[in-house]
Amino acid sequence: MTETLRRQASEPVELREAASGAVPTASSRRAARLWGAALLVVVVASVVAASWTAGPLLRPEGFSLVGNFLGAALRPATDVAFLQLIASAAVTTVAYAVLGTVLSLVLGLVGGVLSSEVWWLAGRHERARRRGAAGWAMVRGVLVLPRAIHEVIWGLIFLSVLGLTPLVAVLAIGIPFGAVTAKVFAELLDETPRRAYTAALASGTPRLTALLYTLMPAAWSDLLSYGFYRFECAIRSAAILGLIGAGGLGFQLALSLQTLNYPEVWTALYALILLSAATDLWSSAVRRRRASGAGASDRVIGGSLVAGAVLVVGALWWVQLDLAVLVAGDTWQLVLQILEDAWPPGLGGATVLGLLQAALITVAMSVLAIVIAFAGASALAFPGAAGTALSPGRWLVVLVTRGFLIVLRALPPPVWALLFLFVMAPGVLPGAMALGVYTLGVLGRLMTESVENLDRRPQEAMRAHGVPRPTVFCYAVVPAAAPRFVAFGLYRWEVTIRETVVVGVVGAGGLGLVLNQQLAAFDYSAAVTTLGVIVLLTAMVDATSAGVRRSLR
Amino acid sequence: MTSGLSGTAGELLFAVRGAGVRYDGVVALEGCDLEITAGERVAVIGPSGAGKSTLIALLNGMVAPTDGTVTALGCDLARAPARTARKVRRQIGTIYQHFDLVEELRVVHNVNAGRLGAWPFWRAALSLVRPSGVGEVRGALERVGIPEKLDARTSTLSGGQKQRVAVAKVLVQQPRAILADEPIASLDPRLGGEVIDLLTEISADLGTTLVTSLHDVTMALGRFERVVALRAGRIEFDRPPGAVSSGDIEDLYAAVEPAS
Repeated sequence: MTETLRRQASEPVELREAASGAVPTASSRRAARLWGAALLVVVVASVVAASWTAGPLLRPEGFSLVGNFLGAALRPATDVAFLQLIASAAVTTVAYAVLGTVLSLVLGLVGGVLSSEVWWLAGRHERARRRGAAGWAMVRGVLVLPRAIHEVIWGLIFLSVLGLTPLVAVLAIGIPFGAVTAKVFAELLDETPRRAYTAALASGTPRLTALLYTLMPAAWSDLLSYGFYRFECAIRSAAILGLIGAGGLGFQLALSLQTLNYPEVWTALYALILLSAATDLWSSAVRRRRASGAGASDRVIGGSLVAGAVLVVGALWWVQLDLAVLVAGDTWQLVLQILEDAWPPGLGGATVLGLLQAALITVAMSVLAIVIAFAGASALAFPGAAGTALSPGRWLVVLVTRGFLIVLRALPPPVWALLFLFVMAPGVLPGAMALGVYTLGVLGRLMTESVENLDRRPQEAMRAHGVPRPTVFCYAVVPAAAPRFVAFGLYRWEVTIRETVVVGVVGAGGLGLVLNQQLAAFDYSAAVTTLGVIVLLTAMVDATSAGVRRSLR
Repeated sequence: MTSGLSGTAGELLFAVRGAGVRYDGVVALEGCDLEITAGERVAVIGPSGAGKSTLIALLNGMVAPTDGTVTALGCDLARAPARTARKVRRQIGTIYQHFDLVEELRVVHNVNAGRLGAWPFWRAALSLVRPSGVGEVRGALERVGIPEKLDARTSTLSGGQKQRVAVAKVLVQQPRAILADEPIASLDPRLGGEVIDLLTEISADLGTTLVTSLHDVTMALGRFERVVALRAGRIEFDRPPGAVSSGDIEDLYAAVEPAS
């Protein structure tokens, strides 16, 4: 039992459910075939929708630009002034990520307790349970909204309310991440055995104290290690938020891109890759230690906690958060003004048909992206997985594959989108490719880890019978890995539909583009409608993905 | 605080009147009448599934009766406002078969968990950082024979030691009644005997009422002054061990004929 628990713990908690084992039954196989057919139809439709543009798809003249751009990779800008600028921008990005993560952990802690089943229902009588169920449903409902809206949209919203302040990035990361963390933490609390908790209630302990003594000790360390995973995500989000003007590395990158100063772009990109790789490594080191059962007394985990605390203090000092803007009368007046403009929701310049079309494009983009990512990632997962006793040549393959995956996920989707826009006509396709390439990086890593964590005994048993390696691969490795791959793919699809907004912002079409234009035109009433459509779409994709996963189980 | 003193002997502590419990239509207890007065030491016996655990849970109010009433220390826990119910529950200490300790915490915190009901939240939270009331915790651990385990991580303890921690936890709670639900079912006979001796000694020394459900009939007959026997959710008999014949016990554990 501990074996599987530990194996699962090496993955981010929210993925555990996604990847929980699948034993196909006859009926589930039929359902799976049905879903497979539906998938094929959707993919084909998406390809058709995406490639249906008025003009030619490719812009041949762009290829020389790409040549220039790639050529600059070897000679990044290295003048001291620019390096200083990039260094300070990188620190800003880290600071945003750190503070955003801290906010998300605080929100997640409170929200997690309040959205856990155990808090509302455990150890209570009929009457109290009924009231508890209502409270539970309410909190869960409240948390759906912040989760459905992407960081970038939060960023755009806060930008229009607060103006350019570091608070924008911190809130834009902290709120949606907080809602996700709350969900994960609630699940952690609910998974913890309850007997000690109800025993404490039986001796007259108040709920909060009982929770602190009986459920928190077990869930706490998982929450912290999840915090490191969130930090890794927050670095990427902070970079993207920079692109929309919140400052930091993303902002410098956008400036350099606008002036087509490729050497500078590369310096910024290298900094981003470095940062992303470092946090990746850190976070997975912490999670691996944690998964092997180590506690705070472990050197890596203890050191990481201290380093985390130092980072928080440093980040506070660096960005000089000005909380006064939150309580300023002007801010609230503006909020009221915006709310007044926003209600009732309207259509503005858009039409229902236009919104529907944008919604379809968004779905098509997410489907294409996930197909690209899934195909690439499942191909790279096997060469990227390290095993025991590797030959030097095999190690090289592992390192190159992993380095490649790191680069893919280090560049935020909007940057990929801008790169694809060099050579492609603006539209769905470059957006889908950008999201696909980025998601390939993320998915590739998840799949690599899950290949490494496969039970090796069946493979060894086959090999002991003299079965050749390729056959072992087909009969023992692929069947074991496939269900988890599919589960990860579906989970990432849920994330991707949210991220279509991000590439939409740089002009790749879909609802993100519509929303961005509406916000830029201060048409809040139309923006609310678009936002509603996005939330609805997200919920539909979540439900579909959950349905497919259930049918696979 | 009334401390361990049980007040006037003969005072009615628990009154179960015509109580029944159904879980989703399945009858766990039916038509139970039971009175337990201060200072009594009662063993509850009966075959598996007879409703022993449900009876214990009725007494501390964790299960509400679907029929009849249950009062503990004069309070109907199922109907009382949460705050009042909590106050009464502080006077009732419960020990469980699986110890129900928090494995990740140090022993001192698990013992302190017995009196969290009497502490405000901030004190409880602070105590996790710097344990509060260590003197009493050490005293309780000495009483149960494992004073050296004060700072040990609970997960490192053996089963017998864990049950001793659970007893120490009830000791610092200083309740008027101790309920124990199969406290020794997870222990070997020798350890089990020691834990029961410990409980009856504590009960005798402090005058605390003790209600224990037990699998082990010899233990029940040998060390308690009153035996309540449950069978298929009903009280079969309720008398001093001297008045329990071996025929009674045989009937009690005979296979239950299928319900009509």
